[in-house]
Parts: sequence; structure tokens; C-alpha cells
Amino acid sequence: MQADYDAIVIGAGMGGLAAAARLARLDHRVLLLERHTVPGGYGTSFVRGRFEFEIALHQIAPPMAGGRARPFHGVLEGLGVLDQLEFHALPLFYRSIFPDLDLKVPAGIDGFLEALCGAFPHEADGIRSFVDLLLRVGRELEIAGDAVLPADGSGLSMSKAAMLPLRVRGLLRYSGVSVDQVLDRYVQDPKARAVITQTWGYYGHAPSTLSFLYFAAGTGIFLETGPSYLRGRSQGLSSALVSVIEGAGGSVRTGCGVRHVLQQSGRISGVITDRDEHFQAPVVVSNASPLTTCRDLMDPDMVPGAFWRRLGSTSVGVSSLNVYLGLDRPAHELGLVDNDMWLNDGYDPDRVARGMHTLDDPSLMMATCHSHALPELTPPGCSALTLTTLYYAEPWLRLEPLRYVETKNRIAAAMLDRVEARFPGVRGSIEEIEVSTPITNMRYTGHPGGAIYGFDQPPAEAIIWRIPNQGPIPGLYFAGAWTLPGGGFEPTLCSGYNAASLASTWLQRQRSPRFRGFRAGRAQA
Amino acid sequence: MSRPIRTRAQHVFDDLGQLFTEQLRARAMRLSSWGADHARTDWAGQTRVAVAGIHPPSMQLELREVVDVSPTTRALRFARRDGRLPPFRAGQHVSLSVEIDGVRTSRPYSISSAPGAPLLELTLRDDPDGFVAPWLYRLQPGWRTVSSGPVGTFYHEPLRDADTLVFVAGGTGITPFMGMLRELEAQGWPRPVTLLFGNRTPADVPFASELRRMARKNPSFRVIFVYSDAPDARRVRHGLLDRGELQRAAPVLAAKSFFLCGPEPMLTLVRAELAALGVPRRRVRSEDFGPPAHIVHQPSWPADLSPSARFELSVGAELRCTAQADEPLLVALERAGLAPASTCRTGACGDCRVKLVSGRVLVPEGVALRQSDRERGYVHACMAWPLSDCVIDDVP
Repeated sequence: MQADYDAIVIGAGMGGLAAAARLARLDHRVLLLERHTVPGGYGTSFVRGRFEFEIALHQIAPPMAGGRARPFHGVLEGLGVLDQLEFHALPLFYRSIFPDLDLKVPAGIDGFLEALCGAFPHEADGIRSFVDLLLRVGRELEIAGDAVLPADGSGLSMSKAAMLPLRVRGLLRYSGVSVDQVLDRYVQDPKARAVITQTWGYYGHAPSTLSFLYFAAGTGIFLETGPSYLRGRSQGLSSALVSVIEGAGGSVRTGCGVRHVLQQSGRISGVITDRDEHFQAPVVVSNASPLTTCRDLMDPDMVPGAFWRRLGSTSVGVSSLNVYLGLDRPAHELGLVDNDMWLNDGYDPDRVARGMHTLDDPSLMMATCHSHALPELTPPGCSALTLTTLYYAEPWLRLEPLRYVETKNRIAAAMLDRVEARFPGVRGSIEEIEVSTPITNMRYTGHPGGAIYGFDQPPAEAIIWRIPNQGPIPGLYFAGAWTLPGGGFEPTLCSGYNAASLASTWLQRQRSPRFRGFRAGRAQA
Repeated sequence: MSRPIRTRAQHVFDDLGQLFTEQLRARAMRLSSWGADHARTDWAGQTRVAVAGIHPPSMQLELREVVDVSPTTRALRFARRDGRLPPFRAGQHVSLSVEIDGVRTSRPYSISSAPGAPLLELTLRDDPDGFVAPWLYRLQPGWRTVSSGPVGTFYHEPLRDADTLVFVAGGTGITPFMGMLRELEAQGWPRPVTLLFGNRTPADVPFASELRRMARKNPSFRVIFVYSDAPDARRVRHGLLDRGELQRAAPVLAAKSFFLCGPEPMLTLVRAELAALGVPRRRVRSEDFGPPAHIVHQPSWPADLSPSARFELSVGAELRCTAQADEPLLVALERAGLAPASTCRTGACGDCRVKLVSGRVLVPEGVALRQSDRERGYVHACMAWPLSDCVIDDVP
């Protein structure tokens, strides 16, 4: 019997959208099911009054790096969205604000080195060596990604495989260590270390426990390309992917989730939706977490024990709290001229990271204002400012519902006070405000713990060690931040692309007469 | 000069050693502490419970009490059958599902009870021209239905709003303010409030006696009643909620936040008057009270189009129905017996977002559409009126 679809994709986050777009463009019949009414997952926006607020995207590395097309360029091309996207460069990588230090770190390697070596001349040699290493490892990650799953879909050849370990020596050497373990060899001054590793605040792991590879993947690539932002916000990217899927003959259904993933003789055979419809398909790509997929969408006993043991070494990662502000004054009047600012209260990241497991007022927060660089994002004479800090979900899960609003407003007020002290006038210009918490993330994505990057990313669980895109049951694939290569916009797009490439190869093999003959022969035997 | 081979080998050995010991140690530690916990931990269940306690996606309601609060206005008090009433922000609304003559539809109603009250109170007027309101008005206790959880952004937000508040209400636009006032009373009036309450006649004022009692007992609360249809009445204030009334009610305008809820002409008038008085936008919050009653009054309405013009609305390739020019697409879908998703019916929530594959629609100014949705032809069906035959991609 002919199945309804070749592949069903569960969830329209970045991973699910990319997987569905890739599969549809490879001429597979695809159905993408999304529980929420708007596709995009965290890649979306919302409107309040005359403002449209970005949910999640702070910065994205453009596909070109100084005239060289990065592998990400090939991924976007393969997804068919490259010509629909506009990348607008942002001037600053970040600005680090400490009680006694305020340093602007520009985009680009030269600017980065100049800023840091200028501020910490006694550490200049170490900083240069560390940055060299970041760049090298960042490049090697791209080489590895391109070799294992090239954008042209050719697969890993024997010759490439044999050469690969030599080409990615750095990657292998540093795959098991934390940022601090590497930095210890190069830079000692705690202030310099704090500024260099400032972007750890994106990931929720202090440098002592953050995978060096994951840090290098982000920082190394951003150093080379400089950061940028997308026209139409991240929702523009999500909508572009939807139009690719539909243009290639795939179906996208929003407002309809999946209740159950069906199995037959140890293989995936389809899904049952929230509305009790049965759809048959030999492939399911799940953009839901492997935890949700294997425990709630399937009978956990049907999932091999080895996979549960593999999941046993993971833990659910960090979530976020955001304060979205629509201000009725232009950014420059408020001094908000730098795109991404980190507000620190000290130089001990381990203390800061411990606070993320509590409901205490945050030590580290980020203030993102793209309005000065990209004024078209806000109404004339206005600006938008997003304050972000990270929390793990456990205390939020235990919070008494009656205390929810008071808790989130207390934290938001503390964050506003910190901003007001630095940029007087912000509080008196608030026309729109919305506070989102880990509960909000759970509400809209259904992710365990409202995780924003899937599983935690210590050295043993990041990049090459991450849960693979190939699931534990034939026909099951995973896309999204929970799986290879990890959290973030570029990685999750790549995960969906990879999952789709693997699924497509598998589907083709199922169809080939030789394979079918082999299977039939085996069944007879 | 190259480094001695031994040193380099040592480095490689160190690194490899570090790599493997780290891996083994990390995995062993995690395996022993977590084990197969993930298989047992019901993450999805925990997530659902935590979210449902704060933002229940739906509530099973049963009508328990019906109380007249004016000759034409009735308060319906509901108990929740599937759990405790959730916390909400006074001023928010729920979307109530009803089925009338085979048409499944929903209407948003502001909650007029305070958060924490044992019953959830919705208040509505017996509007003879309405479809849902007169039907609800005649219900008896015991009726059961489903609603959304409390949603909406019309509430006092201490992070944003001034400490002194001015509420401007017209008719049943009082409902969200009743929730806010009852909450303030329970809290002992932490901030001063003036209510400017417009009605047609003194004989038909919802919650009049409760408001008078509140004002008598609490010096921080002042209520001013204004009547539009009482030209011969003495001892009452006659007129519109215009500049004069606003200035009398709120002498130092700048230090106050204004909350407006009422019929569209009142909102338009008061917004313009406040702007003329120099009150910044951030100090004026207003609740939209359903879609525009007369879409033909929109500036973008084509002069040559009859409000009763009928168009064909297709959903994908299979479904066809009729859509009238003066009714939003959402209503056309509901009339066709479909049950499209919708919550706010004012274009804000986006639950009824659909892609317009072909055809033209009128979307009033100020509807909360994302930039990329505008560019790619998505509309919110509750705030899109057909101007031609239309095709949409799916039922929302």
C-alpha cells in the first residue's frame, strides 16, 4: 500500500522547517505538522501596539566570510532560501559592561584583537594565540561539517574520510575540554578572561563547564564574518522556509500537533495527530526533543535501552527570561547606540551561572537594541530594547501559579533598574512591555524545561558528541537544538538539513529494487 | 627551529589523555547520577502541568449564577469544572465557545470579577442586533461550555504605567474595569483611580450601585457618570467624554495613565482628545471591543462596493462558501459550519492566521500583523473583509 507521505516532520522550529524544506526539494512528499498557530518555533516575533518584537534572534553569522562562501551558504542554498534572505551587518560584536570596565568589542578579527589587546596589553600575546586557536577550530568545524554532510549531498567518501582526522586535528584535540581548560594556557588576568569569554552568557554554561568546541563554533565564526541580523526578523526566515516547502509541493499545517508516532515491525510507520487523523509515512523527522519524542509520542519500552542509556548522560539545558520593551524615544537619545550589550556585576562566571538555577535577580544580563543600526525595525522616533537573562527551569516548574506574575515582574524590575542606571530615560519611555519566562517558552514550544538550546552543552555533550540526527528506530530522525550540532539558528538549520539528507538517502535505498529484493529474500528465508 | 619530537609527542599525549579521561569521567559521572532518569521523568507532563497552572489553554465552565447589574445588563458567573480558576491580570478576557443554530463560534468577554474570586464573572448586554449576546443573556444556571484561558494585554502594568490611573468606560466597556476596581478594593486601594463612565441614560448604568458604594467608602476612588441622552435631566452630567470632561476628571494629565474601553466612536474621540491634550501614547491603553461594527466607515472601504455584496470564499481546492463584504472571513467560515480557531476576534492573538492564496481583502489600519506576514499575504481572518472572491490555504 502506498503511504500518505514519504516523510512527516513534527514541529516547525528551525530544525523542522529546514528538514521539511530539504526533503520537499529532494522531491519527497512531506507533511509538516506544527501545534502552534504560527510556524517558526523560537524563530518568530509578536506584535504589541505599533511594535513588532523579535523573540530570539540576536545575531546570525552571514553565509559569506570575506568573499569565501561558508558551508552555511551551501545549506541555505540547498534549502532554497538564500535568495530570499537579506543579512544586515551589525557594527559591534558586543559591548562588555562591568562595574569598573566598559569595553566595546567590534566585529572582525582586527577590531577584536585591537580592542582586547589595547585594554589588556600585558596579555596581548596570549589573547592573539587564543584567538588564532578559536579561528582555527571554527574553520575545522566547518571543514568537518562539510566533509560529513556536504551541501551538494554527495556524502562522505572514503578518501575524504581517511584524510579528515588530519584536517581537523585541532577539533579532535579540543573536543573534550572546557573553555577554561584551554584559556588557562593563554590568558590569566580574570578581567581579560571575562571579556574574551563574555558570550558564554548566551549559552548558560560558565567557561569552566562550557564546551570549548561549542564556544569556538560560535565565536570563531562570528569573529571572521562579523554579526548580522535578518530583514523581516527571524519570522521572515521561518516564513521563507514555509514558502519553499509549499512551493516544492510539501504541506504545512499549523494548529495541529502530533499525539503519537506509529511503529510497525520495528520501523516508523506514521503518526496520529491531535485531531485523531492517521497519516502513514516511512520517515518521521521530529523537531520535538528526543525526550518528548521517545517518551510521550512513542511507547518508551519500544525505544532501545541503549538509546535511553545514551540520553541518561544528558541534562535539560537552560531557558531564558526576556523583557521586550517598545520605547517612544529614538535609540541615540537614550544612549542605546550599541547593538548587543552585556551588563555584568563581577568577574566570577561560576557564581553567575549558579544564580541561573535560582529565582534570584540576575547577575548577568544582555541588552539588545538593533534600532540604532537598523532603524527600519521600529516606528519612526521609537526604538526597541530586549533585555535577556538565562534561567534553568526547575524553580519555575515548582513556582506557585499565584506567585508567577510577582516573580517575573520582580526580576524584570531589577533588570530595568540596571539598565536605567546605565541609560537614564529608558524607564520613562516604555510604551510597550512584555516579559517572557521559561514558562512562556514551555507554553509556546512545549520543550522540556523551556530549553532554548536543547540539552546542556558541556564538553561531553556538545558538537561531535551530541545526540545524532539519526534516531534509535529505522525511519526516525531528529532535528533541532537537542541534536547534532547543537543550539542556535545556524546549528539548528544545519541539523534539519542533515536529518533530511540522512532520511532522503534512507528513503532512496528503501526504494531501490536491489534493496527491496534483498529484503524480500530475507523475509522468505 | 622545530620543537623536539618528544615534547610534541608529550603534548599530543596530554591532549589525547585529557580528551579521553574527560569523556570517560564526565560520562561515568552523569550515567551514575542520572541513570535512565529521562525514561522515567515525564518532562512533557511536567511542562504541561506547569503551563496549565498559569496559562490553561482551555477551561470547562459551568454557569452557576445569573445576576442583573442594570435593566439590560447581566453578569454570568461561572465555576471551572476541570480545576482551580487560574491566576490572571485584572482586565484580561476569556473567549467563550457557543453553538447557536448549528453555528459554532466564540466571543471574547472581559472578566468582570477580580482575580482570586471563587467564580469567574462575565458581563454582557442584551443587544437585540447581536447574534451571541442575546442568546447568552437568556441562559439558565447549569449551562456548560468551554472557554480559553484568560488572555489579553489590557491590564495595569506597574513596570510601565503611572501610579495614578484614569479609567474611561462606555456602557459595557466597564467590564474589565470592574475586575480591576474589585481587585484594587481587595488590596486596599494601593493607587488612586478616577473612573469616567459614559452611558446613555441614568436609568441603565451597569454596576451603578456597586460603583457608588466603592466611591463612598474609599477616598482614593472617584467615579464620574456622564450621560449622552439625558438633555432634560438635572443633577446629572450630560454630554460626551470630551476634552472638558477629561480635564475636569484628571487635572494634571501627564502623571496619569489612561485606560479606555467602550464603543469604537468613544475610543476614537477620547484618543484624539488625549493626544490633543499632549498625553503621550505610552500613557494611553485601550481595549478593542471586537471588530469595527461598520466596516464601510473604514477609510480604505471601496466607495463602489455594496456592503451586502457576496463573494465566493474557497478553502484550498475542496471547500467553497459564501462571504459577505461587510463580514470578516472568520464569520464566513463559521457560517459555513466550520470551526476555525480564534480567541480575541480583534486581530491581536493571531490564532485565526491564514494565507490568502488569491483575492483581495480589506485589513483595517492598525491590525497586529507581522511584517513578514504582510509581505507574504497572511491575514488574521477575524480582521479581513473580502473585496473579491478569495482563496485561503486552510481553515485556521
